[in-house]
Amino acid sequence: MLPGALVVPGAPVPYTRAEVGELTPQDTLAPPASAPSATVQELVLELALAPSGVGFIARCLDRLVELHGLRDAYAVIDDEVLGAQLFTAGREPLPKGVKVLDRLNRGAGIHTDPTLIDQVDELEALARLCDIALRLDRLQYESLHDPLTGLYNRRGFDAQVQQAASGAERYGWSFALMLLDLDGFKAINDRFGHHRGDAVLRSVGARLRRDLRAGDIAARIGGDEFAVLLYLGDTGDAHPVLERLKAEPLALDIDATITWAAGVALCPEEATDLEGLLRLADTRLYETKGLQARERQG
Amino acid sequence: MTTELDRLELELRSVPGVVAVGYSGEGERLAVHVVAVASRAVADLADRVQRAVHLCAEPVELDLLLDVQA
Repeated sequence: MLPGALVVPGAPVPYTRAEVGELTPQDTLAPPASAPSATVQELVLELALAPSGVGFIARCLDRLVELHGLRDAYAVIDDEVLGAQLFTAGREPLPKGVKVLDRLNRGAGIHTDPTLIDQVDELEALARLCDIALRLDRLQYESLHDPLTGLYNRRGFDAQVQQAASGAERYGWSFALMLLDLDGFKAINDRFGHHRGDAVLRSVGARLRRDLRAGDIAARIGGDEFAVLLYLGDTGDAHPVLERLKAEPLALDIDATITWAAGVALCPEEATDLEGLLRLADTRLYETKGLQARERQG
Repeated sequence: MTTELDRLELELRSVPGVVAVGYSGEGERLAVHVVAVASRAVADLADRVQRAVHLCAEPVELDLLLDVQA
């Protein structure tokens, strides 16, 4: 602490010279050896505003091809979770006869044809940007999806419902929010263990993906609670999907049975916001479960 | 390319074994080309890729290539 320094309660205490140690010329703020090129600077700004990382990587490669008149450019990004990933300029499919492993084996970075000998720094900077872009995408994907089933999680589903509710309000695109609860799941967990329980949840996820129509959205929003967003189109009826789910029992490799209970709410007919739709669907789900329990008791 | 196709690409790349995704054609004739390597692929690779494509709001054809090169 400097002698005579004013001390404000709660304020951070400055470091002493002894704590910091001696500063060397390398510690001072010096400009980098070479300033980033205009292309790199533009792409840094673009990445900050990009709606998606994979889209950014594609644009980055396209820009490189256009700028230098290249025949081809591709990026190999070694992501810590996804592993080595290959991205092609123009998002083109791999050319005939090109082996994907040959390209992956060239290692992480941006590779061009012809080789840009004088642009090594720029290519390294762009490769770092692409690496960040993919990581951002992956982190966002993980924050919105359930790792066990691959479906949306609660957070991702809420965002999708809010988007659909805006569409319903502005354009009249009606949809149904369906909550699904598994009857018999707790007994499976208790009897066969969590490992088997997880396998059942994965089967439910796969089944929902299989039975839904293109554009419909499924999510796992709790332990054994699932939710589905169904666009209704002209029919205005969500029940055919539920009937399809109920028609075929869930295939399990254990001696147990799982049944569904569902509660449905319609937007915009019955509610126009997420909370209202969830509340209504939840009330109906518990009414259905109560009815099913009474039926079982005879 | 739409954000929907960006989302599809990321979902496909999240399937273990998938290493590259490309597109060809336009509109209703859009095809998605998925390349996977056998050494890293999960047993239900084809199912998972098909499911991801099935839920895409835009109609797409699927071309799945499994590279078994040693």
